[in-house]
Amino acid sequence: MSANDAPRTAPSWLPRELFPFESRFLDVEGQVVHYVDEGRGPTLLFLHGNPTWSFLYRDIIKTLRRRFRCIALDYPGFGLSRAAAGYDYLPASHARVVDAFVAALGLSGFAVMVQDWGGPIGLWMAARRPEKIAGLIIGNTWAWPIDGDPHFEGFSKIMGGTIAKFAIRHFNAFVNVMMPMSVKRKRLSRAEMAAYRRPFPTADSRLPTHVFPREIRGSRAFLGEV
Amino acid sequence: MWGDRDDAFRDVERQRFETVFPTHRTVILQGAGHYIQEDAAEEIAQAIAQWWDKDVIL
Repeated sequence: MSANDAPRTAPSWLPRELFPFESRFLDVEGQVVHYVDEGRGPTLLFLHGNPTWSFLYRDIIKTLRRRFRCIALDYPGFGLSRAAAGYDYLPASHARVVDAFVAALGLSGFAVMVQDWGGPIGLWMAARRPEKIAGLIIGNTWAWPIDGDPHFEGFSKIMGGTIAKFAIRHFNAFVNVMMPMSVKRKRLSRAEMAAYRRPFPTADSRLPTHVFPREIRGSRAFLGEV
Repeated sequence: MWGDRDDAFRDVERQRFETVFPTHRTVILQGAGHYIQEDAAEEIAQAIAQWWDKDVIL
């Protein structure tokens, strides 16, 4: 199925009680991008990382939509967005999609919140259109080449390597292992874990979650640009 | 917005951002892990609203 034939409605598995937003879809650079656009007021754009999607921002949006326009999208291959055949899932490609998305919606005077890979992606976009950006909300992330830092080199080598690729393809390891480990104050509920798992039902659908850690080392040029 | 129990992004990464953006406001999310949006959604929402009112110049 090409991206353009992809369904443009939210799937029945989506837990509406957790994610009570209208699912919207926009064609961007040949990809079908799913996003939510909730509330009215000054605009906030929320960018996720690996292996998450706009679902990550649900509770923040529920609070802030009372006085802000809250927009959160999913990169192609993540969440409810669908990638066209041949899409490479590279951070630079996601960044171009986000940049085109911002242009398509005509956003200006907005703040952007980033975390994890949302950092390099969002800050690359922000640097291309500084006149449109009202502020940056930077969560746990980075935005530069990791050159030689053994902390990130090691993670990228392991999670971007062949053994992790097998574990990611067959066991959805980035979702099933990394996410519960990396939420510290609470335990993700079964419904929340299901919402993070469901976008990746097949082995091949999980490859985008392997590309991200691999590209901590591989996307040196892109990270240098950011 | 920085969770201080992230195994991936540490104080050094936060400090580099603080140096690059001297006009900043740092909010440490005590005990929050890498997915700060799961661990500290309400704190983040409140901090964004306050930051917008006090610091953002359009």
